[in-house]
Amino acid sequence: MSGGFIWASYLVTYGLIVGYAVTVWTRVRGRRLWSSDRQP
Amino acid sequence: MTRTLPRAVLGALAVVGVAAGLWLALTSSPDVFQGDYVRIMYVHVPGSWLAFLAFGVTALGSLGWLVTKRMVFDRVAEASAEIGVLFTAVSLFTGMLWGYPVWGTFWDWGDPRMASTALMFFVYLGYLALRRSIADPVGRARRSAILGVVAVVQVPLVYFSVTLWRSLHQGMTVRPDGIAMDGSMVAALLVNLAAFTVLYLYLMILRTSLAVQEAEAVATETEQAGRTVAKPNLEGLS
Repeated sequence: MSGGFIWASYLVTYGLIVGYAVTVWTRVRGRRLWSSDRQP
Repeated sequence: MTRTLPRAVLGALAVVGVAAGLWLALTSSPDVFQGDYVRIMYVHVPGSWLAFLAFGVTALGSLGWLVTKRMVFDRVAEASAEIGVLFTAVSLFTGMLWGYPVWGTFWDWGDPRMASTALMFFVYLGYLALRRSIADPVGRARRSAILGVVAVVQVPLVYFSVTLWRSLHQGMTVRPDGIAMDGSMVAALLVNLAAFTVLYLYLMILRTSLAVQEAEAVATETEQAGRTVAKPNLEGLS
């Protein structure tokens, strides 16, 4: 029973952090590709 | 390459630190009263600490913009507020998951720390919404800087809420006369606090660089849109 709450806490924490980091990293990468694509 | 190398090193440090923190959190001594539930503290407390740090940096960035009008401060404030909201969400969710088995409830609006943390979360969500609602970069920076400076008063209010009012939360664990915790628990908590702080620095660099790229893209698009407007031929009209 105690394990469920503990693992849920860790899952929420690392899930939110990894999800946010991957989202921002993808947007940074996308912007870089977009700007290099528009170079003459 | 030279710009992304320090970021990659910081990212690697954050991953190693968080992994070490996780290992210590799962192997440290259980609490005499709470048993293994105390392990939630190792993610809950760093989440709260980073929310405070992030909103403090948002206030400093806002103040920096108001004084100097340099856009770099606005971007730092924006990045830090977004990361602060993320870690406030971590603190709220892990707090609820810790509260149910220990206090018998996921949430209690009568608890000053829960209520003030929720209020802080929604105020900074409002800060992010305000930023998205204004297209003009200078107007956006001015209005959000004022809110960024005013909203930071919530940080000490949340922190001292457990001593100012009656609360389900325990009093301060770190006091001038010492730390009321076992040594292995203190070590696990300090490693997690340090690892999450490095993670915050990594996310700040990443998010600030995105803000800079987005601003450059808007400037480029505006310039190109201006160039495509042909000069009107007014010959023969006079």
